Amino acid sequence: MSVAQTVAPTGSVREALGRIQKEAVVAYWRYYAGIYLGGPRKTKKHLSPNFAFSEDETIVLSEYGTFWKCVQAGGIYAFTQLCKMLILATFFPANDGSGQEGMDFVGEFLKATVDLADLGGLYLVLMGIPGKGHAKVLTAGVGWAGADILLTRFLLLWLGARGAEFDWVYIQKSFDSNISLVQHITTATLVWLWSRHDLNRSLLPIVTAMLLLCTYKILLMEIFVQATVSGPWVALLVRAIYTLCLGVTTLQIYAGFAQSIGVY
Amino acid sequence: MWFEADEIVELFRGYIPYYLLIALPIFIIISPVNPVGASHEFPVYRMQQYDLHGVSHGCRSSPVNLEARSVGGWGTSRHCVVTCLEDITSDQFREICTKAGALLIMLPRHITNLHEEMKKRMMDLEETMMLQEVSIPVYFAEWSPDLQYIVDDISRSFVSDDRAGSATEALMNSVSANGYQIVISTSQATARADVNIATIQGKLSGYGVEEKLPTIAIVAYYDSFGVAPELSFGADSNGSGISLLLELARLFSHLYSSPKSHARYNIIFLLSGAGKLNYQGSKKWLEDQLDGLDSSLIQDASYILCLDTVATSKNLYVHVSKPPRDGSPGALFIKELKDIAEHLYPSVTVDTVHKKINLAEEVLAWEHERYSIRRLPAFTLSSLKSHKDSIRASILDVRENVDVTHLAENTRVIAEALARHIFNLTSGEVFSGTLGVEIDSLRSWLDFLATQPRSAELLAEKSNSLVISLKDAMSRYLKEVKITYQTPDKRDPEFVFYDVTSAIVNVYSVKPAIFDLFLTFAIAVYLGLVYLVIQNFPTIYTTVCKIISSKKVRSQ
Repeated sequence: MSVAQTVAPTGSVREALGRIQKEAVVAYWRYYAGIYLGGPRKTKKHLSPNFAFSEDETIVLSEYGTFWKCVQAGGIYAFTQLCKMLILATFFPANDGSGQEGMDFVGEFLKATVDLADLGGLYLVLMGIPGKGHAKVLTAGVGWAGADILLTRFLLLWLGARGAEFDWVYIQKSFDSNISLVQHITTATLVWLWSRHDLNRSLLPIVTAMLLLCTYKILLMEIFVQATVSGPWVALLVRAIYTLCLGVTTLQIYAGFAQSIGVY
Repeated sequence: MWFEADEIVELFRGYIPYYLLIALPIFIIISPVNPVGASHEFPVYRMQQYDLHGVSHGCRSSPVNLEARSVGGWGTSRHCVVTCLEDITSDQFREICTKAGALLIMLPRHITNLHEEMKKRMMDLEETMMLQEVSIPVYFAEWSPDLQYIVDDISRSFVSDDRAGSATEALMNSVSANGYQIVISTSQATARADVNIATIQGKLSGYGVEEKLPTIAIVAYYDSFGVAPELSFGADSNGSGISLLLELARLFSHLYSSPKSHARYNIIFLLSGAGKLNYQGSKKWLEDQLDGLDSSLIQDASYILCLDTVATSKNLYVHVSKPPRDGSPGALFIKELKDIAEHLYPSVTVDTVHKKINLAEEVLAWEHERYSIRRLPAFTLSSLKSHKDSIRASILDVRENVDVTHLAENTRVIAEALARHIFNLTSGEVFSGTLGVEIDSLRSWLDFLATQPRSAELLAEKSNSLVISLKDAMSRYLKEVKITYQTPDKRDPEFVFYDVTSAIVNVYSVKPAIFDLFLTFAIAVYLGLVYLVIQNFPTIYTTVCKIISSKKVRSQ
């Protein structure tokens, strides 16, 4: 709906000018509404070329754009977790086997397999949310990690950390949140790489293997802690090193690929 | 550059950081502070507190909110000393009472099998504690692994306070130390208004006109005493006395129910209350009986037999304040007692101990002195030679330390002597075969009585369940069983009880203020590092890109 069409052939010039202004305001609000309601996003091209926005406004718009994308990623995160919970509740009935010593490896492995749904969720985020270059991967990773922290850690910290009693567990949780931020960005990158058809075929097995390593990270860590009977600090350190190794490897693959497709 | 045209950066260039600056403190301020969620909670029992004849005894204070320190590490009245009972001496206790803020004592792990020396030390300590008025709150906690860990931790971290080599060492010590805050949030103990000391009486009437027959009274007090009311189970003193009395009631009710063996003697059974507080129950009962308008059987009693701590050993001591005249019923009974012990039960020895009543002392030595003061022939049977034996007022007096076979033997001797005296026999055994002393009955009573603390203040409310069950037991065998309640005078009370006998202690592990400073500093450094990494990420990225392109060049 271009403004030019709406100029009436009849009527005074003043009237016409007033109409144009009104239309412009309507178009502007439609653009905003599109952002808020998550409808098909119109770029500035759809707006009337007759009306230029000031620099300030563009910044505001793009800010909301990224923020909104993160929130969307968070929404998809919540949806994915809901699906996972449904699957877990349906196929893995809670067995109160308190008398059972040690770990039920097969059961734990199958439960960890459900975490593969996270990868599907991330894929949805990456496909569903527009964006270009590095920002796409970063938005998906940060949004996902943000939702994860809000939903799992926030309440614990908010309710517990101000207690009269000092406990190292809150410091540990905070470190762990930083580690999982890196982990989520890494996973998002790997999923994005995996989804690219122009990725070098020789790299695909490596990417797939690393995706699996990301998914079964929690299980592997649990096995490690059980096997070595180490304290929470050692477990945290091992988790940090593990994530760092994955992250650096992913960065290398990503950098190489980004160069080859011309994203700098 | 890398981030230049990026939307992510835009996100942080806008207003969001400023919003965060306002939102985060608001979130932190409105976050709920939950002081109750301590990681350690233990039940604790407060030390005795009572007034007797206007003199205050025991600990006079109850709430605690202080920092925990070890016996060697405390300094000011802002410290609560936390220690094991075995680690504290009487001198240390006296010093803590005058200068420290509070005292929390953990009992030994196995209170039942301590060796003799340890037992003696503990009982001496208990005596010292009760000797004087204590102005600070004193609590006792049962042994638990968590509390043991805390006690160990406290003694480790603060013992080196003054001996640190240098200032930095002392600083490092104070940073790494685990502090504990002891919080016992009770109200200040107040005097209880609703005190009713129950005394239960029952009787077996003899054959004939009741008023014209001679009367014997058998008396035992039913309360116990220890350094903490909730920990004084009093199995031997006076659980054994009650068991013996109830067993005698059972045996004689059997005899009295058949006309053939209905003796010409009235027997009154009395379970008196507040025996550990100068035998208040007996005193009141006696006043009611003697000074009342109706004439009472007790006025012309042949003798009054008090039972106190009768299971410690197979020795029986007859405590008298004035040796009974030869030929009087009391003398006859004592003679029978000695005779039976000598001939039928050689393992039991019977001795007479003569001690004059000392009115100058604060409390009477034995219960019979209450009756002797009113010129009634009375004596106390006990396994203890002296009334000063500390087991009579100790928390170590628990069921496991009482041998029920001693009690059974002593019961047999006493029952036999009573029967001989009542039926005027000179030889032979009355209680044998089906009608004998049942050790199981004694044991079950002892078990029942020793499962709950029976300190006088805990049983002081009206229709206490223990008092009711004792009354029910007595009415099974005896007639005219009734409870009389005694309330202390409002204006000038003979004794005053205080509430708050038990509480919950919360132990918070806290860090010193300097630790918070260090932690804040460390977090700031960490955040700075993370900021630097994010800021310089483009550099890292280009480096990685370079490595990759150089690799590619090489491979080509």
